[in-house]
Amino acid sequence: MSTDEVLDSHIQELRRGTVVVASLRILQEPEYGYRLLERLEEAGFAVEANTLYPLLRRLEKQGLLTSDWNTDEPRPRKYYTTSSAGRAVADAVMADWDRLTKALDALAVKGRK
Amino acid sequence: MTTMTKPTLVDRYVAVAVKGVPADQREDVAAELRASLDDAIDGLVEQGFTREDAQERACKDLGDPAALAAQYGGRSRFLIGPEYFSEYLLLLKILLSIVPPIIFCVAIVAAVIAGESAGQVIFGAIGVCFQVAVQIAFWVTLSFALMERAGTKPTELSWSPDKLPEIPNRRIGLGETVFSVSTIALAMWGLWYSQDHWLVNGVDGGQVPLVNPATWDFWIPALYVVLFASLLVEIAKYRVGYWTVRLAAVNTVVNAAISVIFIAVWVGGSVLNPAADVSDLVVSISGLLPWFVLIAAFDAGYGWWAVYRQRVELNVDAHTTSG
Repeated sequence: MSTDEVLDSHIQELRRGTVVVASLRILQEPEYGYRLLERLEEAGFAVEANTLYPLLRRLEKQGLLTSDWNTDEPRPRKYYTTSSAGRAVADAVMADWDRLTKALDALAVKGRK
Repeated sequence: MTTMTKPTLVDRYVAVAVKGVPADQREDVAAELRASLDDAIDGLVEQGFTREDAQERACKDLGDPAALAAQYGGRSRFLIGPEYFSEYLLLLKILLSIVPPIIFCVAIVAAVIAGESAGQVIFGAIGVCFQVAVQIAFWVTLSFALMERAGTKPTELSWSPDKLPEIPNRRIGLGETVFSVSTIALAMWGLWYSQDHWLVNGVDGGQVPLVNPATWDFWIPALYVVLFASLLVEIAKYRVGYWTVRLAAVNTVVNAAISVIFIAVWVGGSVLNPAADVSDLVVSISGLLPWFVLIAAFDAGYGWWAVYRQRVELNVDAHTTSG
């Protein structure tokens, strides 16, 4: 494995959970799968469609998202919305993220001394 | 939305992707996936792709539909996961190291009794062993794969500190030495004893020794020398306490010498007294000689294997005691 591949695998591991939080934040307003994919990309979260679509269903199963079919438009689409449980999870994960960032910063300062 | 026309690429993709999804959700997943694919296709057409190219590209971007199906269905794409893998390997190792050797011995005994030739015996036994090993591997793997899917881990299979194996003590014990020495001594005594006591009816009537007296001219004295050497090896092994490279080498030479003697006597056809009326025995006894050679080869190999095992385990010891 080259160093690039090693770096890639670590960054990928670090990013895995961020897609969940980003989705839970974006979906505070209802959105459908393909549009969410576009919005995640615009926001700088690289995610594959074949990861995102099953993920949405899992989050719905866990009660973090609710869904509704919108049949008003010519193409019926399934819209997902973050539930209150989903908001709570997103906030809790973000709080942990902040804590980890601070802890890592503290380590970096210590290392420089 | 889907018309009665020929199924499109999207239809075919969706059909594969929803295969593993539970029936009550399948339609929902299919409709959603189709809408997502159609959205992606529209996006690609806006970028200037033809509708046909866009279809193909959109499907390609989503990747292998079987992988997607596995994610939707929540099914694992492996046979045995990390939770079970070490137990799986352990059980497989235990069974494969115990059962085929037993089957091998049983098959050999059965074939020898049935009076098959040495070649038939060996290849037959190896064949049976192989079949048994394949069967064991198959059924153990199947059981663990089913357990993996059932998602329940029996408590007997979970790890606990008291399941740690003992670090084995490989010091060669007095019992082992006494057994080896007395086996060799018994063989030496038996050879000597056979001169006057292993008597059978002679061709010309009267009693004659079973073993050909002519072998006493050279081969049996040679065998005595070698057996005496192997006695020394046993004693040296006991005094050193474990197998060393030098002991394994000497042991190999001794076993090679024994084999050479057996083969020479066998090829010379002079084991049995030509004066004895033993036409029935000749076939079965000469058939046994290759087995002595096989045992000698096994014994020589065992020494080297013991040295190897010693090295591996001493390494472990060095780590545990110095750490």
